[in-house]
Amino acid sequence: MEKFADIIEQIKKQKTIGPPEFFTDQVMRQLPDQYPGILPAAASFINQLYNHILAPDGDRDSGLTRRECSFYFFITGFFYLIIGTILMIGFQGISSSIAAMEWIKLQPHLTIGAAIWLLVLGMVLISSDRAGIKAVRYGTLFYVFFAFVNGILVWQYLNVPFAGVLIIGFVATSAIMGVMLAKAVKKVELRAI
Amino acid sequence: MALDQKIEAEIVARILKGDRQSYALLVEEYKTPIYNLAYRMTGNAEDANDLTQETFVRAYKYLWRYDQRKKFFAWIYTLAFNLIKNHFKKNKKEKFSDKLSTSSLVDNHPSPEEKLIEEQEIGSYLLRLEDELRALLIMKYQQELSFEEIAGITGKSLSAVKMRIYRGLDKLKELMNE
Repeated sequence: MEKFADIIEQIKKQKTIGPPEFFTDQVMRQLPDQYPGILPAAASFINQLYNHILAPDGDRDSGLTRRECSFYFFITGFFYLIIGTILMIGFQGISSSIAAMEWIKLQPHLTIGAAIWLLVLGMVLISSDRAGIKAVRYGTLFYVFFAFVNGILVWQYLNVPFAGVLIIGFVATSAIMGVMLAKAVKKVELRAI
Repeated sequence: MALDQKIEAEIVARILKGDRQSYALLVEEYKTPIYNLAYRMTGNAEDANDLTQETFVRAYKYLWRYDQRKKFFAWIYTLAFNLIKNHFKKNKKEKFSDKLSTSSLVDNHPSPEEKLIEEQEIGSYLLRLEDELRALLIMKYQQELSFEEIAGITGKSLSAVKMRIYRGLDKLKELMNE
């Protein structure tokens, strides 16, 4: 900023222009005669309550708070945890028929692995410094990369009609979730500068 | 430039309970920085007055939305900034910066506003900047807001604000060297 020192100085020297005389009276004349007492007070109370629940630290001027962002990681992680558990139970009944499909047999474990990965990232996010936030973003991008690799490998094993469409659907969903999470982390990162 | 946050919260609570006159305290406290922003942005006293009045009337109407843990100034300043932005969108063809480039060439009887600009050369260069860059430079260097406050007001990230302010200064220097 050194090279702009003279310009900055000139901007600072500009006179502060104030409003005309009686400005306050003009404004007061335009206000409604009576503020309906109870209704706005109640609305304000609900609004304050909402703000407190959403951001107890009051820290939401721009971007996302860590708390909000880690919440996204937790709900995504729990989503995978539920899917993983359902897959785990379901695969017990049909495992004999897919004995040869080693990679497919691993899917319930991989889903639970993804859940744990995202939950851990959420925890790191809430408790770490700037370097930690960056690590969480790379961790999220690794999750997206892994979703693609997993999709390709599953495709190799499945010889079912329309398997490609299903796999593309699953991979795209995972990738979109991952990219959204990475974008959310980026917002947290920008705030921390 | 600002009242104590606790006092502000008390004033707001009183207004919300129906004490209309308490609002005059807030208007009195913040009218100058808001008017100054409007004036520096539009370069026109009449528009600045209208926009500042509209800001305060609107703030009164929507006071229940104000988050009392934050500074009232930041909230009302954001409101003013958005009104000014909308004003420019609506009146794009009548921007003062556009008028300046033509009227000053043909008018031998400059208006008081134009006289002021002649006196304050930097002001005329500022008016030739993009609206957004001009607003950022005014907030940062004339009204001495912090980068964080500006990010909160404009809804941009801190790094974006820093980058745009740098770009604004660079552009301003370029204009002055032309």
